[in-house]
Amino acid sequence: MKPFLASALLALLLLACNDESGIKPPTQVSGFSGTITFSGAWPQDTDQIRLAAALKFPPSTIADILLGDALPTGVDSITYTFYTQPVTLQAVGVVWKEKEQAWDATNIIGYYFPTENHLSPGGVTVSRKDEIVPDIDIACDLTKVKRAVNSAIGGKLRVQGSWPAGATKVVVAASTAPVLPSSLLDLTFSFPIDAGFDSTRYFIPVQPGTYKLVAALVIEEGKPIGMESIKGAYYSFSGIKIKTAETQELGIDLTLIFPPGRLLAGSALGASRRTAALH
Amino acid sequence: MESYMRKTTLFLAGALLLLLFCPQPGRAQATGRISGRVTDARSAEPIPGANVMIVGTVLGANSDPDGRFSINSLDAGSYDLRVSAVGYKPFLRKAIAVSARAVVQMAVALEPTLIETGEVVVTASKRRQSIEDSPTSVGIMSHRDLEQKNQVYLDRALESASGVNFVGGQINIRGSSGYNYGAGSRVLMLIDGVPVMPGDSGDIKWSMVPASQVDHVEIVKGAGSALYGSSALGGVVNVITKNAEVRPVTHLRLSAGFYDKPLYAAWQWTDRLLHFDDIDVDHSQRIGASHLMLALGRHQTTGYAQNGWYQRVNALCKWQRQLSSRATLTLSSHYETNNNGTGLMWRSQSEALAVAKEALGDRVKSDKFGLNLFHRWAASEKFALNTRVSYFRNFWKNYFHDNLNASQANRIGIEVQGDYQFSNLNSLTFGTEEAWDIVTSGLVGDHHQYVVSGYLQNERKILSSLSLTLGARYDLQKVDTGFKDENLSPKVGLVWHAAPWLSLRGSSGSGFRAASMSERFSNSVYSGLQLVPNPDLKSETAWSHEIGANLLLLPVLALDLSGFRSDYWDLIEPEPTVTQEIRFVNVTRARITGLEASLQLRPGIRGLSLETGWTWMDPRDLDLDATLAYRPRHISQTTLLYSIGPVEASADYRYVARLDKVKLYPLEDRVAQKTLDLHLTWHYRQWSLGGHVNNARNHAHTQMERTLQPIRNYMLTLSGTI
Repeated sequence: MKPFLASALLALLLLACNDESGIKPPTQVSGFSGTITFSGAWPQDTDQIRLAAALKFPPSTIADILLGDALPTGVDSITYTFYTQPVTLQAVGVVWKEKEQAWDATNIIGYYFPTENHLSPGGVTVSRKDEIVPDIDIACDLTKVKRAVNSAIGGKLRVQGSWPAGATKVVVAASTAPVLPSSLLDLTFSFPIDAGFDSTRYFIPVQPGTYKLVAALVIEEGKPIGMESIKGAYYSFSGIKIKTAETQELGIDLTLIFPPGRLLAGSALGASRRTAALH
Repeated sequence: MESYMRKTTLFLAGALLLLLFCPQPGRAQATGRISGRVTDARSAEPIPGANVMIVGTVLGANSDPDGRFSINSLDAGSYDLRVSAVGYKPFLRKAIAVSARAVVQMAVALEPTLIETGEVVVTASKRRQSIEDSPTSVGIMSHRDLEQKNQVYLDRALESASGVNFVGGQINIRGSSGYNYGAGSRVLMLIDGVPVMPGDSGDIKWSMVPASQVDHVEIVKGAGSALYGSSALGGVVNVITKNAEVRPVTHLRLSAGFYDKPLYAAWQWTDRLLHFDDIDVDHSQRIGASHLMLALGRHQTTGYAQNGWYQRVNALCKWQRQLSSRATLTLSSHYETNNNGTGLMWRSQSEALAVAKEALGDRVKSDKFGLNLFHRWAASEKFALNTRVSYFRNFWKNYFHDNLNASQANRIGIEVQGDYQFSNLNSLTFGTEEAWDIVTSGLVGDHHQYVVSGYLQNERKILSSLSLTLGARYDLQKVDTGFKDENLSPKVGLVWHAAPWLSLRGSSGSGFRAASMSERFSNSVYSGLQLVPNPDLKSETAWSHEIGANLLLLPVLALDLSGFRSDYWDLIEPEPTVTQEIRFVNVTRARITGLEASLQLRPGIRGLSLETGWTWMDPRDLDLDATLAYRPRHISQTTLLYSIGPVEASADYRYVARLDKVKLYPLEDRVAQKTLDLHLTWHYRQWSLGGHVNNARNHAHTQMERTLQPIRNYMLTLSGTI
């Protein structure tokens, strides 16, 4: 029985030696933290809210988004820490999910804005494995939630001139702001469209309301998004009226002009209202 | 499609009636018989399960627990008899003269070998053949291996097979599968030769048959669609369940155990003792001319991770009847009812054994049922007809916080296969197979599809030591939406027994996998993501090439080497659409090249053996010129076994290299998988008492992101025969 005693001793020795070369709880944590405040009433159909961080803004696919854990709902404010490996994020926001609906990465109710410019989201860079970047505070407006609707604004996008070398994506945004939008939260975005087309269609699922501005923004490599990103726009003083959750205005055609001439002069720049299908 | 269904129903009903009630023709002319007993030449103990074949015919038998066999209905003439058993030198007796109405009695004493050779496999060529005659690599996990590994379910046991690893519960043979979100498998699973891939998800349900109800498992590596059709893109796993024994016998297996504390206190999510227990019992009984085996199992655990609990009951029934001297009928069915918690991923790396708070209480209830009817009729010494009729049903319902989907998939299949043995140098296998999948699902809607196929394979000895295999299969798939897909899957193989100690093999074969219904038709919100259908998904296709050598270097040392390359086209992957929904599309062109070596060493020291395997792979995504996601570069397994008298000690070590690339959370920590299992078993008469420590070093690792594999656990097992 000596070999078995030796085996048993060896087994006990092995058991005494845990192998700590595997996954372990992080001893150094990195990420960012801050406070989220909520204004407006919590919608009854709230399922979840989560912190979302975008590796690219606007994100092209869900692979460009890091989604955090579910955050408490029904509260006025919360402090949070979002753990991530060292990374550079182009935008951080809070995404709202309606009950029994899929996540929609464009359903943002609050962005991190480090400055007074609320048309361009603030980036966050976590540079070390032991760094928690503080003060990434986000103000959420619960009146900006977007529910699943069939209503939409859409039309054709045409191009005049040559695409800028760094153009990657085009997003079309619709705004309910009375004059010009002052915040990204005033805008509803289409899903990003690959740049380089001669002509294509866009489609923005929008909530019922009156939309005074529809603008096409061209995302260029290495350039921040701002008013200069707008390469085609439609502006109407009376606005595009989306009366119900079934109304679709699909004749708002836009022309992207490179280089752009005047912006928002007159009722439209590079825009025409061709048809309107109302329900 | 409806007309196909009506015709098929009629055909199936007719086939069943034919099989059950058609009298099997007796032999018009007088015949003789070869009977005998197979024993160990040294100990004179009987050898059960030995494979006895009349060379150059389709006739054969297996020895019973007393080592006895009988091959009936032989025309008067001269026959060569070949007997083989694992761990023994093959026995060949030439020119046995059989006379009409006479019984030739044979005493077959097999010489034991140190190295285990002589295994007979049925999966590589859809007929019985020695593993050394297979042109493709075949791995075998014997009943004894399964007992030694002492795992309740086959997925855990198969992790010890050479070239095999698992990612998120999906089997990879030489890196074939990667991880495709549980929608479809690139490895085909068979139970007793019958495909058991649910029509909705098309994936493998490993809990369907517990290891205690399995006789052995055959793993064919590389594309196998030339005989098996869809899903055999990366290989085939054939689970051969236990047969009924000829004498009344009851086997019992009881086991219970508990999980250790997690390696890090931060991971402890409960103060309760987390435990598991399993009861398996089977009974064989002869009833008239029939043999019946019933097996029942109950398996339950609290799980080692939050929501990791399950309660399962399995049943297996096998009834075999010798209809005539040359016809047998086997009716088998398997059933599983399962209620399990589920948590897709951990809450965080700081709480790696907890699930997201909102997922607490999420569970799935499922039932699986399979019924197979197998009829074999040796119409003559040269020709046998095998008919399989099968039904498989899979039902599941999610009770998730955000999802109450349910799905029911029914699959009806029929296969008629002919084996013609022109001579001992030339054999032909041919057949036709039809299958219907009918799915009613909250995830994919109501759909049905139909597959019809035909296959042909010829194996010919072109020299006394050189065999050539040529084969092809044609599959036509029709989906109720009108989508149609055709695939032709050819194969070629060569085996050269260059010397008594050296066999060389080479093969090329094509494979394909038709999209599962969940990939084609998913139209639902799942885990908060909107899945959208793509009804026109094409099949994935592959070509696998392999060269290999089997070397018996010394009487105590055997080595198997192989080099392989698999090319894949149109791999189906989930991709986000521009509208940020998820759709399955044909995207990836990939290539996996690799080397595999396995070694068996029995140094002649009593009871000591070492088996080890190593696989190296270079998995490339050719579209992106990058490493293919979810494939490790190295896999290695080692089993060391030592026994003396009634006590047996063994250790299993598995190593899977860190995944170079993942898709879901590429920024998170990834490590190599290193698992050591220790076993100590004491045998007393017909009983065994075992103590086992799984993951003895408590190594914390994931197969895919955010899913920690089982932590150290201790188990006691009592098994025996009544």
